[in-house]
Amino acid sequence: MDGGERGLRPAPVAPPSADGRAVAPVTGPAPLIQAVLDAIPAQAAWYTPIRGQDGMIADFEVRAASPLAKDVHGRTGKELVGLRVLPAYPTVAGTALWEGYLRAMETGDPEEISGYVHLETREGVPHRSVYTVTATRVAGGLLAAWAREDDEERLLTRLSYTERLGDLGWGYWNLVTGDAEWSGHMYDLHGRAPALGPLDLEDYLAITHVEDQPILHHALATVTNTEGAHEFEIRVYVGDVLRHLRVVLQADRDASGQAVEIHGVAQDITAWRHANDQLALTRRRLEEELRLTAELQHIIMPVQESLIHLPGLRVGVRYDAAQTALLGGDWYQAMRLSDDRALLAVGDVAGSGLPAASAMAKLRHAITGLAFADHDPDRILVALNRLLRTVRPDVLATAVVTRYNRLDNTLTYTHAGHPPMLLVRGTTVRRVLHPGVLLGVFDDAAYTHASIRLEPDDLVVMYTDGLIERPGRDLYEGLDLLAATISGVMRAAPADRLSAVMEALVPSNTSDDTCILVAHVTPIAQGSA
Amino acid sequence: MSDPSDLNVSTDAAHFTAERRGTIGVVTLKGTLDYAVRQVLEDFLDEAFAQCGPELVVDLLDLDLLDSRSTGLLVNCWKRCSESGGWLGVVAVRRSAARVLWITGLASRIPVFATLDEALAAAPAPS
Repeated sequence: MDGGERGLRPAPVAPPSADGRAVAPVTGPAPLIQAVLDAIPAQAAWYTPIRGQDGMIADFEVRAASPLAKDVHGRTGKELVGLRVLPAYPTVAGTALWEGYLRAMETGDPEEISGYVHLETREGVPHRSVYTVTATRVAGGLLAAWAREDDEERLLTRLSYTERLGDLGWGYWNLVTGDAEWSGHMYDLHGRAPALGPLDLEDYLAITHVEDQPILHHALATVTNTEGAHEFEIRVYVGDVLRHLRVVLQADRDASGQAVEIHGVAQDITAWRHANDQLALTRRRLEEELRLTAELQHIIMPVQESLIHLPGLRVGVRYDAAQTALLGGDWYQAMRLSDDRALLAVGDVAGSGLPAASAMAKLRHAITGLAFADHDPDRILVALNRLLRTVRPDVLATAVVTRYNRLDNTLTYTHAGHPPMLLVRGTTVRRVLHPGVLLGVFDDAAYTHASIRLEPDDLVVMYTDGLIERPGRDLYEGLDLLAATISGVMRAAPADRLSAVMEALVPSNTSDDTCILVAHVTPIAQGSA
Repeated sequence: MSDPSDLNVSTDAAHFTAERRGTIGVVTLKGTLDYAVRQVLEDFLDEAFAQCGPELVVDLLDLDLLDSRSTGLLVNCWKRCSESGGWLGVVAVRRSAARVLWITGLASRIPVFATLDEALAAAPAPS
């Protein structure tokens, strides 16, 4: 409880100290009265009057206090002893309480001061509190007892704050008598005037969304038949609006274990639910977009899981999208041009997303047509460069374009700003590069080609820079590491060199997309040469 | 030689400056140009072009690493200079930068010099 100051200030004799406490001699009835108060379960104190020179009572000093006695400042029991009323509670002067004290001392008749409103001006102390005080003259002093009247009021205030801030309503239904009671905010939650009284459980079902009625039925059955609280979520109509409530119910039982009352707390979670639904919707849309994007990438550039069989070659390809963007600009092309010839190419359009992907699609389609027109790689690249400069001058791209002829085992190739190929022969790995300028930069870019003769069981590795590039690492460092890795794999003499290499090639940079093409020269190609 | 409009940008691994030397802007890129500094570099080059372009010498002598994306940014810078009727020269001898310029074929298209003085001497005279 709170402070019961007003009640207690008896009268001392000794001069008060600065803080209102006096050093009183331990004489007279005080010890006896203190012993009595110690045994009383109430808030009470005994004061002695302090008289002025005119003999009038000028103040009271606490000489004894019950253990339960408590003032507005939170001082209890013997902490009160020695306090003087007016210094300790200045606002008491002149009030009905003060007058009552004086009257009781004067007449000897008990006084009851009810509804005394104590106003406290000190910070940190409730401004207003209400007490009932009785004052009786005892042993030349004043015995005061008090009780705080506003405890219930304060409890209600606390509950009301809790309900409002937590958007909580409380209700109870008596299953035997049919009585029901709702708290104030329970009415608010249901948009119902308190004057109408609470809804009984049947009427409550009627405002519950039809899909959620089974939930409520189930909940009621659960709490009446089982111990403990049951929590659930339902939607109820408040006017035309659906409100989402989270409800916790629990039953009180009689001696036989029969449920007699149901207590419930409801919380309005409409806003939370809506935010959640919105989030879920956004997530679904994102997933859908990701799926579409992956599909789109697959449509633009299908990646074959199984090996591609071309004249004299077996070819494995792989595309790894960037973690950050499913649509990328990396591409490959591996196609048969005739019974004896095949086109192999890998390229990289700078950037990601639709702009890069659409440029990539253009290049990939163009290269297909140009290759069938039987152009050499250098002529193909001249045309691709012109295409980009004309159609997509915003785009930078690199590519390595090669043509393999099984009749003479010759690989003809040209790089356009693209990193070297790797040629794997036995367990040695070497770089193969015939550099030309990037695509899409110079209107008059010109290219030349080089050729290399392949041997049976050779592997040619083409890739985009996501395979070897990593922040802080030089391109050639990455390339050397890759070469060492492949060499290591080859030293193990795998039965299937192509698959072994494909497995060993892991993109080093997941923020970039990566395309890998590995061609294996089949012994058959050799035989037919 | 420098004026108050000099640019100076640093990251953990890279350091970029731009200053005017007469009519020529000297852009110095030091450290590691990789994915981590891509956006900073792009913004810096935009600003450098705005303040010093379109006649630029890009000094890569103290460059440790030049990745493909940063190369693309350099190429865009060259494109911009050309389209504005300007000129762009590169100073590079270190393996990393020089090799990238070679692989990308840029070395055959963009003038590359061994020293800054050579590049400045080769720049077109102010008209």
